[in-house]
Amino acid sequence: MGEKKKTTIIHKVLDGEASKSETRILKRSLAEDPATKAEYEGLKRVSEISKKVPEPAPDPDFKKRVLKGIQQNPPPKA
Amino acid sequence: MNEPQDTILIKRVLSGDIQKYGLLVDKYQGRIRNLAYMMIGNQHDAEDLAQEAFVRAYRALPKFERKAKFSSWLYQITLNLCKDYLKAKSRSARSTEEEHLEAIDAGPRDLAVDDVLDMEMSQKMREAVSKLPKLYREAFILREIQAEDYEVIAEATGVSADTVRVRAYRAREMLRELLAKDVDTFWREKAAKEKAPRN
Repeated sequence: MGEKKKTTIIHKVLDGEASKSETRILKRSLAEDPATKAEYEGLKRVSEISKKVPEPAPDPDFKKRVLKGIQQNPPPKA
Repeated sequence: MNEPQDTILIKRVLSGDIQKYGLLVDKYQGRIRNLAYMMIGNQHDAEDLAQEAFVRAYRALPKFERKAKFSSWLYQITLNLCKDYLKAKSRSARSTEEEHLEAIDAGPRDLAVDDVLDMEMSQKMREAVSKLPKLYREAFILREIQAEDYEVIAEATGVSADTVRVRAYRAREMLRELLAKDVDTFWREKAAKEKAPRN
């Protein structure tokens, strides 16, 4: 398996989009090749950490500001 | 609230019930404020851009084609505003580095001590994301941080889902390199914290 294809399969697995055969190929590669394992772990961690990034704290005044902003504009017509 | 409910709300807004637009703002404000913040790296300006995105979406609502999702359309408006902002900024003399330093003030307040590690890592992630090329950055934020489908991102960015995939993949790889040391330290400290006896 080429490097590029292997990396694509890793991304597909992380996205939950890999086929059964692709998942099998990656599992085998993870068991046999430390470089693949390191690449997989690194990308998986980036993906996991990105999901921990919180949204900005809710701002109760945000909606008020938007509604005030739109009231200064003519209402849309369907 | 799902997409058909968005459509119902939009119809009500278009028939003159402006307050129903508030429900759409409630639903999407977190995602839109976060997208703007992560795209431009300045929380104060991101708030203004997010607000402007909702106002522009409202004004353009009669032109909204319902074959697209409202969320994709709103993302598209926000990304366009971010692009204009970044273009204007790159023309101005202000240093991007200075912007990035300003950016590190997001996230919920009143954090538990246990969350400190996560917050520190989140800040590093934000900084690293802000260093990605713009097209990779938007794909990564929408896919990984906002957990959107590739099809939704494709609608928002005007390219194919496969192109978005390639950009998101490349962004992950670049972040893996940018954050290599920080990520290792984070997981090591996290593991040590879990092993340590609790008070």
